[in-house]
Amino acid sequence: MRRGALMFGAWGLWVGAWATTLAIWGAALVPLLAFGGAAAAAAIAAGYLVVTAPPADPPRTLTESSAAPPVVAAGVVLAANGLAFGLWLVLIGAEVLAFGVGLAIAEQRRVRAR
Amino acid sequence: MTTIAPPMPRAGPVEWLLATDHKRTAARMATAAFAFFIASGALALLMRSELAQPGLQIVSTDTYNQLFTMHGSGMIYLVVTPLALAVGLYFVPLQIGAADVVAPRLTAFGFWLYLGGGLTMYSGFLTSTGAGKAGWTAFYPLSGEQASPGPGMDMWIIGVALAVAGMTLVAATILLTLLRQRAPGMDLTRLSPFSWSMFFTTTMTVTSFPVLVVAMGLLLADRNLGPVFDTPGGPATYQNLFWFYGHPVVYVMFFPFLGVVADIVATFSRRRLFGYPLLIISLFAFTGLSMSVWAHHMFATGQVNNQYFSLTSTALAIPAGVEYFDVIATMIGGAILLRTPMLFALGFLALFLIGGLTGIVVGSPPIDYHVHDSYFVVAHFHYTLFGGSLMGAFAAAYYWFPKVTGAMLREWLGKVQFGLLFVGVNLTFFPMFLLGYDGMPRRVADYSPSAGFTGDNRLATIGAFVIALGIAVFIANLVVSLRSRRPAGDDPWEGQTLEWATSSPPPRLNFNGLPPIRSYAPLLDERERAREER
Repeated sequence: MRRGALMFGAWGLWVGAWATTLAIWGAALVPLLAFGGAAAAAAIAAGYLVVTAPPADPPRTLTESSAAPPVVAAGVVLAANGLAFGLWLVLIGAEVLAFGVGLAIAEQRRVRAR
Repeated sequence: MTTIAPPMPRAGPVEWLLATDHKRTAARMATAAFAFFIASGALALLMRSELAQPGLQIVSTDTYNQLFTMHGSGMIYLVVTPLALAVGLYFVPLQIGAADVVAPRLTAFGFWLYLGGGLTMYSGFLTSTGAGKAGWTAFYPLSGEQASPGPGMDMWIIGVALAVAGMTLVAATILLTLLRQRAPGMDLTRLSPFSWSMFFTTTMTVTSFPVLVVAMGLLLADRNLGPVFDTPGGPATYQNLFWFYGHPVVYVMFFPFLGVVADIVATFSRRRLFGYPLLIISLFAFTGLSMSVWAHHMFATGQVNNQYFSLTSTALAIPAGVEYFDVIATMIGGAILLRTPMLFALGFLALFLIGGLTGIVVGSPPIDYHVHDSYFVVAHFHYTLFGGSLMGAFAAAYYWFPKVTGAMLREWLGKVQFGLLFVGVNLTFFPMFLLGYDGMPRRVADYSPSAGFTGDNRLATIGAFVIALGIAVFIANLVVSLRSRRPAGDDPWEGQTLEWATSSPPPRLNFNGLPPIRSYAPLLDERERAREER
């Protein structure tokens, strides 16, 4: 994990160095925000890896199958398409999404109960 | 890793679709990407047929606009990027000795989001105004409500956002798996070249892809709510946001296959990869640099700092050169076996070199002014994406098919396919360099008979059909090899990395036990140790 933090930190520095060069050379705000944001994201990831301890052989319960991902995705896709076709589709999408989230919660409870 | 792994149970269609195992999610993703490849490739054949001679014979200009938009966006958003991630999703856990990815259900959700996005994009063809028609880049104001009215363009924008968001989730889980699920002994410094390439690929993905989702959201808002980019500097802002995703994605589509090729070259040269640490350092440098070159696509706009972006773009040649050097040096003195995966790996190196070198050419602003928006650029990126990435993808397919299915692909059909693709790619895309340099603009359905473009266009069209024949041979190979199976065994190639230490296909939790891990090539270590003991 420490090595992972080192990788992200170094990568953030590398990207940050190029972003700084661009800033010195002169650039508009949007490119600098996007570029600096990428460097900052890498730095945050590095920080996260430093502060979170590596899990010591964590117990994992791997599900064999799950209906929730396709149902939740269908809800998101329908709702997103509703942005082009109207509120009715957004609402149908929201309903499917809610059903999918319900499925995910139920599955999670079943897994924990095992 | 001491769990006893149950064998992979045979799944019915519903079970296969709902499975959360990383291997099945990856298989679904690769299958969907291949289906989109066939669809987007068919659009390319239509375009090439139209361009075989001057005049409009097959489609109208409006339909042609939809064809090149859906071909380009299909190939980039729905084919090569997901294919690269699917290969990573399948093999990264196997190469690092993990039982599964970090969040299998989130990965599956990412896949379904990608599939929904792809279907949304293609469904635009069913609307009265047709599918998206503003190119794969959807530059503003061409993609605005006035220039591209109708729901088809909205669906394209929504589809792209969904597909890219889905791929970001898949990439994030692969990255976390690399960080958190490595087997004991599998230090980061012992990752295989392919796993390292996925580390950098997914790092770029999670930092650059969300920017495109934001850009698509803003574009949709601009079309439906009110002006966002319709301001002074607005179109340049859109381009900055777009290319901040749009150039790193080129390397997202390239790195995984470079990693595959490095693994394959080492395996089929029967040698350890030359300069492993240098390769990783160059990948690291390449990744950072590749985040800093996006605005070389905007040289001609006059809105960006051309000197800076020319410098960074040209500097990419340094890490790329190191990578090429490492791979070629691995072959020197090796006992090279020219099996189909190795042929495709060599094809990747040769064709990507042409794409890469012409990238340096267009990285120079004065030359870019001349060839900008011409067929030269089309030739350049097709050499990188088809000649490079897809050759790499086929190398991966032939290399890992035995591991995934337990059966070998037919070697002679693979060689026929390689020959057809290699000839087809050069026949299709090399004339485009000449067309572009002579001034033929891209994204046009027609050209003047007196322009002198007819001969080269005809050659390119013939080449496109040769490529299609090559793809047909691949499909035939899949069918024949799966129907009349020749068992592969666990390690048909004498592989070096961890995935070859398990059964073919791998069991549900991937491994029954792992060999000691002392380097990136544990199986090669074992073989060398056994040889020394003898």
